[in-house]
Amino acid sequence: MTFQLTEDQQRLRDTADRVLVDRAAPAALRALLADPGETGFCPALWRTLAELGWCGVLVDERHGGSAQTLFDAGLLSEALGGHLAVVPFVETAIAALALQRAAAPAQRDALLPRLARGELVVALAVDETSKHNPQHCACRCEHDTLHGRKRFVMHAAEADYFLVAATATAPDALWLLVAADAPGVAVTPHRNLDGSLSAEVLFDAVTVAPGWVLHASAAPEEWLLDAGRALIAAEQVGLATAVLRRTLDYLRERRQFGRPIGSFQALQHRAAALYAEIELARALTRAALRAQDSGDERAALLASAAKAKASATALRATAEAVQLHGGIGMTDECDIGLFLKRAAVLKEYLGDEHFHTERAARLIGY
Amino acid sequence: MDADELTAFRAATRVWLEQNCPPAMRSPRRSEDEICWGGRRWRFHSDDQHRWLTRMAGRGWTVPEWPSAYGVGGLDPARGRILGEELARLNAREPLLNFGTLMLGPALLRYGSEMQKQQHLPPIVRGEIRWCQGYSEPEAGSDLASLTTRAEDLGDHYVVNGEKLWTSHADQSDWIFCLVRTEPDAPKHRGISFLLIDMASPGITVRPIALISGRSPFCATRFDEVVVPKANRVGAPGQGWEIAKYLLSHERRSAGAESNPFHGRRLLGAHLATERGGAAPLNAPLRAAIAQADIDLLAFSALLDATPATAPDAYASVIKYCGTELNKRCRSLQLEAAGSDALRWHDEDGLARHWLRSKANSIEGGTSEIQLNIISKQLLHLPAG
Repeated sequence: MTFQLTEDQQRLRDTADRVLVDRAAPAALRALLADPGETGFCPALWRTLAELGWCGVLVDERHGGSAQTLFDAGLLSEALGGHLAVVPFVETAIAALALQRAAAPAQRDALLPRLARGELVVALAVDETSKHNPQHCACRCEHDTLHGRKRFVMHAAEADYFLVAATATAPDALWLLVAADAPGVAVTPHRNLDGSLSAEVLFDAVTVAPGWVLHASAAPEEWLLDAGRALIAAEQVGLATAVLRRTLDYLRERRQFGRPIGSFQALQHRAAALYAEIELARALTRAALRAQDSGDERAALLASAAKAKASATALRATAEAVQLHGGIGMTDECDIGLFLKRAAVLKEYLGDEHFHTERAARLIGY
Repeated sequence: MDADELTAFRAATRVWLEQNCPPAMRSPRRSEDEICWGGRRWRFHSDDQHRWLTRMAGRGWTVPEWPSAYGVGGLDPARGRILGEELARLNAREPLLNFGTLMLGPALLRYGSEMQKQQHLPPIVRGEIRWCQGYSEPEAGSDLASLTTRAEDLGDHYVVNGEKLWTSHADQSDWIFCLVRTEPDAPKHRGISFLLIDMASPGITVRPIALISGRSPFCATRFDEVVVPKANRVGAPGQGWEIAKYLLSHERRSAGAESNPFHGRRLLGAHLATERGGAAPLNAPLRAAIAQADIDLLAFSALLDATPATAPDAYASVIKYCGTELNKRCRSLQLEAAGSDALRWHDEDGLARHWLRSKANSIEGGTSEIQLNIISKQLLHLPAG
């Protein structure tokens, strides 16, 4: 099985790159960092992507989407990562999957078309502690009332809905769709170092309408999170690839001691070793996306492996990039530091390298 | 070609294999020790191994995709693929494997004269002649092009003097293909020629080399005034480096994939659980290190699957580098997980031996540092010093 991109896939990837370059996405990230208010993403960029059909990638055609695969969504995610574009793409993709697979027909008809048009922001509310740990879920739905506090909810300030992981009594685990303007919902946003806006969301005796329960099971299931993990891994791979490319350009141009610094073997070897690791991360991430699409029995393992590998690789790539740029890499003016900042946030999102290494071991059986 | 013809070929192949592949040959070999190397000195491990070679050689299927003029099946790619699939279906092992089938053959097919092909290919195909490779020297390792084994041109023959190092299986081989210097005054890469030498020639001495892991197939091969007919030169004088490069990229591609017995669906952690039996549970740091290796094994498998045959030659360096470094890690973790039991020396197939032997993976077939050089120059286009 080869992950050589088909012509269609290559075209998808190239178009994505072109759109994002035109949008000068690193500049958009700087604007977010400078923003004192509650703008979580650039609305103009998001509108452009919605018009191009990005929000409908995982929505079926009947509801206005293009019914593509998670692998295709991963290609878009890679592009976003490479251009440091902070938009609710992963969250939209997860919401689409959740609605498609678990919502009642009335819910699907009401929400999917709006989601596909980019008119809805659905934020993912999973974490309750500072380290991602979905097994720890104190958010409770009892007698149709939701109580709890979620943290690190990305794009919460602009969300129309929250996709909430909660516990209940028989069944024990729920995915709920909660309207952001429901009484009892309170959002406290924080600006992260990469310009993204995440929040603590308090659910204080929020009344849960029956139609809001998307999925119920006896134990917490992670299939939805795994799809998200694979997409974030793709974003991390795109980011690592772009930061290496910029670093190679710098190594070729910067001269010291009478020659380009990229001609020094010590730096060449570091760049080459990093390149190899990014190739490994990319292959694994694409395998994970494929496994999600095909329902492979190893899909969960591959999702964790991909998130672990991509997280480690993106962090290594961005740290190396700063080092290989020397002094200017540490300046705010240089874009390289933005990649490091973004890598830090993506690494924590839905489980870092350590969480997923542990999960991989458990899934393999030791 | 006709789909019906291919279907018929598959059916006929299946029937023939069912009747002719001995059951004992229908399992993957567990190590290099089970390879059927062939050659004049070859003693078959079993009647089945002998039978399998004879039958496949008779059919021309030991190297099925070589042209039929040389006693082989001459299969086109589609039929070759079908044969491969049918063999895989039975888990049938290769009937024959050596440097003749893997390296010298492809070199002759591309660069050899018709006479050389007629002389050397049929015996390779029948498993009658076993070849070894003479490249590295004591003073020419990573800098192979600086080799000094000299082939002096004396009209209708060469006289060869020098020493080759790391010649695998030279003590078991019938012929050797060598890189020799024929033009000492030419620029270093351009003075090298590709010479075929009969190991029975007077003046050749072979000395086995033991490694830190014990016995090894490696040898040192000395040439003292060895006479070699001119007709044994493949290609033009000075074309040796070009031929060597052609073969080296073949070697690198397989070294990565084959150096790692863990890749594929067999993961390290689960494997260790079986090996360790009733041993104490792993502590957290060791367990984490094993899980990290398993993640990298999954990544490496995915990378192998994702790399098309059309990938640039230099990409083989990525595979070789990743595969061999990962294999060293896996062998280390195996040793660590097994603890003091694994330190025993006298078990030749033991973990300690494997661990020691694995240190060579990142050195043989082009060191990791050379692979990083290749990646830097040819894939990343970083400037020369």
